[in-house]
Amino acid sequence: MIKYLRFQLIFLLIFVGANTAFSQALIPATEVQKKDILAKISKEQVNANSLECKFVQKKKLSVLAETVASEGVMYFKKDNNLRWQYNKPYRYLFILSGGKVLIKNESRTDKFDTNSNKMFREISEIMIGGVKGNTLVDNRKFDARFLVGASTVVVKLTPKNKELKQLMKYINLTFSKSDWLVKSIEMLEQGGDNTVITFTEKNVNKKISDDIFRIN
Amino acid sequence: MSIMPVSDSLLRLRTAISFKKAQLSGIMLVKQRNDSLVGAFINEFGIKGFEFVVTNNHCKLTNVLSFLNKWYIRRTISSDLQFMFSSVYVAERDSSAILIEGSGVSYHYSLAGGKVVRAQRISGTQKTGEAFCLNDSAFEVNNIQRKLTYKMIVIRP
Repeated sequence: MIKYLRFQLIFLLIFVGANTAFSQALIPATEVQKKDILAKISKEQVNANSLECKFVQKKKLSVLAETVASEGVMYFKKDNNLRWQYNKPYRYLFILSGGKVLIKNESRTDKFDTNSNKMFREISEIMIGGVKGNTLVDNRKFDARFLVGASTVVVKLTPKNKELKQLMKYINLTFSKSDWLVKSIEMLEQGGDNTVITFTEKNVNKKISDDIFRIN
Repeated sequence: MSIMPVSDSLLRLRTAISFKKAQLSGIMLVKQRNDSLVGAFINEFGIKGFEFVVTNNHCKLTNVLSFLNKWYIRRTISSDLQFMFSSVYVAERDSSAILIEGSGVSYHYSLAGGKVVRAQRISGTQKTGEAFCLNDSAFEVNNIQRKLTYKMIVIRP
């Protein structure tokens, strides 16, 4: 049970997002713009067989009046391989590949089969969907609002699912208009604290060895 | 003085909570703020499990994540945090100290080199918890009654 619950937490991670997006004027997209945005994101997804990038994660905690930061690297390779690796200030590894998940910290390694139950399956679908961007069109799980800025597009996802709603108010995915890749992700918790993950040094279609997604 | 090296600077502890065959890992963040000690537990991805405040050696959990928000989980976690972060006055030459928590619960501290190196929680006549300072940056706390172990390592910036 705890494993499932931890998993539930884990998936949220990936889809956490971006205050910075609102530093520029954003206006709601028209239906035509929305179709255009989705087409551009989909096109990028079709062309991108792999993605490697660095990320910085900043968590605001109002109770402590602090923002804590961590950083690492992320690798994605079609179809469904994801490696999310924290390097500073702690080591933590999350791999999703071939219907299985590996979670490793300094003291322990856990493996799960995403097909072993519905929740695992759904979470893995959402995780990969988020990286690919097709979470945007999955209106079973989220209400999506599209906001257009000068150089970015923000997709504001409001969860429909009861469990997700308890965890977060919304998720903002910010896309750069230059490459139509996710630039940052923000998750706003119900309590008001947020987590922002910003991606940098993105390498699309760089050769990535299958070994880094190996679970067994 | 408490077993954890808390100050008004942010203390970050890599934390693994083990029970039976499962483990919950994350980061415990704690600091002194006015007359209270405030903290939060987040997982590696930044999802917050709960916040807590320890005032006058009494711990209160707030903003508890829904799946942890069960009375027996809240009670266990808050009593363990209270044990970890309660502070006791010690004189310079003391080698031990006792803090009476009421309701038949007391904390017994062993000191060496001006630091708490070991603590025990006694409920009535039964030992229900123990905490160890393994070195300057590693701590272990056991809830004997609930068979929970907290392993904590200080994260240096």
